[in-house]
Amino acid sequence: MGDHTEAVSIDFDPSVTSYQKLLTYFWNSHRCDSTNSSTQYMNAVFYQNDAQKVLAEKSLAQQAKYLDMAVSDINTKILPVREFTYAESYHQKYRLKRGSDVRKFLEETYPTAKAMADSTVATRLNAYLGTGTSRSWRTFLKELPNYGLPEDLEAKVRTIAERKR
Amino acid sequence: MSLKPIIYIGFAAVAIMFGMKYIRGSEILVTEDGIVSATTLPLDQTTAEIKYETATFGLG
Repeated sequence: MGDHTEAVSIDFDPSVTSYQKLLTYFWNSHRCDSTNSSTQYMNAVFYQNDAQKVLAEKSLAQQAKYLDMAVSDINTKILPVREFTYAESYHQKYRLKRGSDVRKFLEETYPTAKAMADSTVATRLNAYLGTGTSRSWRTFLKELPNYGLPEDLEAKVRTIAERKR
Repeated sequence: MSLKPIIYIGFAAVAIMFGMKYIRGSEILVTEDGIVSATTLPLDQTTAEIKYETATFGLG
């Protein structure tokens, strides 16, 4: 993939969560002292604007302090985002089983990788049904009717969720 | 037992894999354009209207 870095892009509602909160998750989700020098698999915050850059740098300094490390020993990079390319369809919503009714329906509804990636419904189904642990099933079951799934599919998903609850 | 058949099968499998990939063609990758493409389902229609922000991370 040349000079590309594999990355995750999160569109979030700032009235529900914040960039700072996502930064906290990010720092807790990787080893910032990793010496992996590969461009493809790099640990990095790719900021979109100056405000994100300031917050990212601040969070790096906080992480260094928390780990009792020098800022220069943190190998996680803080870089401007250039261009985000969507991965191929088979990489999208990876936790939804191939050939499952849910995946088939979503692939028919959103046949392109971008549409599948952009779908909140697909993202939530992938998260809830894919991981199956530590999820708030009550919330899921409450919001399920708003997804707009066909009646029979919604009933199937409800059964799966109730079994996992 | 001769190793030849195993080697031939191995090469054939690799050739079939590349052949299939060639026939199917590779998917055209698209870049982020700031427009939400998923608007068919009701919940997606609602979320597409949210003025969202984007955070991007590389997780080696």
